[in-house]
Amino acid sequence: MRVTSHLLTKERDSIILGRGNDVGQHINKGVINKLQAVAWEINEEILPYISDKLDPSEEPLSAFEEAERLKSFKLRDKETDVIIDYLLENDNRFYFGWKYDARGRSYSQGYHINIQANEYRKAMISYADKELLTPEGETYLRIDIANHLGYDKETWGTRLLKASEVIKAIFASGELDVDTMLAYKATASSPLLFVKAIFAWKNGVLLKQPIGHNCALDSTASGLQVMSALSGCCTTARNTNIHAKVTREYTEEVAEKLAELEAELASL
Amino acid sequence: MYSTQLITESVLGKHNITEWVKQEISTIAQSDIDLALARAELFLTRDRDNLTSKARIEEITLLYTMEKAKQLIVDSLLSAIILIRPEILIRGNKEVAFSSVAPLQAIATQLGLALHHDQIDAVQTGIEILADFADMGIYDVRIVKEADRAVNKWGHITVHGDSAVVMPTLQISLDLYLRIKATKYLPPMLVKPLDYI
Repeated sequence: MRVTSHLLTKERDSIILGRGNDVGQHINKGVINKLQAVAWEINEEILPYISDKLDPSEEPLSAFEEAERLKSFKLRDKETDVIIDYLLENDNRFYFGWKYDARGRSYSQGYHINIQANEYRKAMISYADKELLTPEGETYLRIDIANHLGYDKETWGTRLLKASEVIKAIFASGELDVDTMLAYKATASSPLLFVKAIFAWKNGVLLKQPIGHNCALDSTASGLQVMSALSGCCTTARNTNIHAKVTREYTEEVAEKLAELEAELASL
Repeated sequence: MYSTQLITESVLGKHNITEWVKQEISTIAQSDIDLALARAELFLTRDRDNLTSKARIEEITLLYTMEKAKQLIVDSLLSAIILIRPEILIRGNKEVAFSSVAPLQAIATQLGLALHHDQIDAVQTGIEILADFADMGIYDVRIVKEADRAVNKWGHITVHGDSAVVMPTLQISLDLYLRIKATKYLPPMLVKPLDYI
């Protein structure tokens, strides 16, 4: 559905990404408008502790292709620094345009700075409108710290316990011990997001300042969870961790079952 | 903030390219445009033995009227040719040519989509337009031999062996070239984005 654009200088735009996907269907514009109204800022405090890295290619590349890949990574990194400076010079408060894809997922727009990009880009930004942490917020921040350390498949209890241990070690002296934080960072599964969460703890809990930290929680098989809630299917709800005593990894279980079936078929 | 955002969008926004190309087209001598419009009229009205082709072209005039259809053909043809960007082609590890080429079917589809919604109709009409306008001197259609095959700087094959390519002969202004070159992905917005309505 071609609608007015979120940009100031573009008259009309498609709200759905990808050429040919916009076939004039009715679209929920309200959600996108709400997402666009959220203000973000560059998390200046953690910039010295994070940097982008080029992940190894999934498929084998020639030396020439590898060199081109590196060149393009360096260019993006350099351009990102320029954009960060541009945003900092302009009050460090900015917004993303949002669009849907053909399946209805929502995507924030941006190449250099984007909340849906890689870990580095997720770590560098926070909400611009800050709030004081509530006890509930503090619990979620602990869970966030544990998640980034690699305990994201554990139960809430284990995560809270692990996070408490780490927080105790990092803030043993009553203030942030950067060396200890960096030592944990080296073993974390999402090191840059871990640093971001630790700084949020420092500001939100230790200094009791308002923070704009955004936690990310992955749900297990969200589509099936919603389906089980809508249909009232307790078995699916249990298997997708809506109400379960033991955390189940749905995708792994399906993969194992498929492997069993494949082995059975092969033996026929 | 508002004015800074406006400037950023105006300079970096890729969405401005269409408008800049329109401005570039407006600098072409009116006599040349008239000649192209006459050619477009001939394309739309000439007799065709092939009934499928005849029905497809008649559909265009029914949808847009003759005047609008002529203008659409000329505008989309010129835009498509102007936007074929120069590219460095590489063979082995050596840069072998600085060339502006685009696969024939890509340009034909782009042209045809200005007139049809259906992709197959679009590419067929596009090819017919390119054939009819071939002697106007704004582009050349060539066959690239297997031996001349090369890749672009991202390692993708730009033209496959023994395939037809469109090479523009229409020169774009330096100003347009520099403006297009300066466009980049837009940074996040400094002001709240406009609501989609």
